Amino acid sequence: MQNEKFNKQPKLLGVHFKKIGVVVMVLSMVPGLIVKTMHIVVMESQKDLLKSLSYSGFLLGLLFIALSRDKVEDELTIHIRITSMQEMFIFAVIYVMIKPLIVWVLQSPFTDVSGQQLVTLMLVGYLISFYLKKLNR
Amino acid sequence: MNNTLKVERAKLDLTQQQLADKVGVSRQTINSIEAERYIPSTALAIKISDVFKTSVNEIFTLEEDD
Repeated sequence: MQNEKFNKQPKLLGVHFKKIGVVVMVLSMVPGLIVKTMHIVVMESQKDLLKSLSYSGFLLGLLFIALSRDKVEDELTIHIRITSMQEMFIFAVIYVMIKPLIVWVLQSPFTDVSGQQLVTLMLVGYLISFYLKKLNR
Repeated sequence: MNNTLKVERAKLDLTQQQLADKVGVSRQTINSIEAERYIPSTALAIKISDVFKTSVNEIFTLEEDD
């Protein structure tokens, strides 16, 4: 039953990518912490670059954790993964649809979430949903 | 879908973990199937029936609204 095109399991990263993801996330915060704690003076452009790199590292770490396989990755785990991803996609679409309304009603800068923040929110939401569903399976 | 997994398991004196190891899934998956929270794939159903040396139909039965 190996040749069935639609029955192949989704490609996931190895179990050890969970740890790698955590390390990448922690490392992504280090440059920012060093600059803050050592009171290093950086130019505005360098600050933006540092922020962007840190955020990218953080996202990459989250992605590693989200896409790494479980020790026992069986069909129920895959089902839970798909359900959690589906929920987060629906959340993102609804959010993008109602976002202009929220901004208009609240007139608040806090409601203006960037693409990066939305992706982070989706990844974190996916992980929370996935682990909660796994606990209650 | 109903199933007699727990009964079949008891007949062979198998724990959920032992059955899970035999069919290559987690113990929680076996638990979810037994509690009828999850319907296994055809492949897994066949693997389970192979362990109990019986047919899939004898372990898994459809309900009226299935």
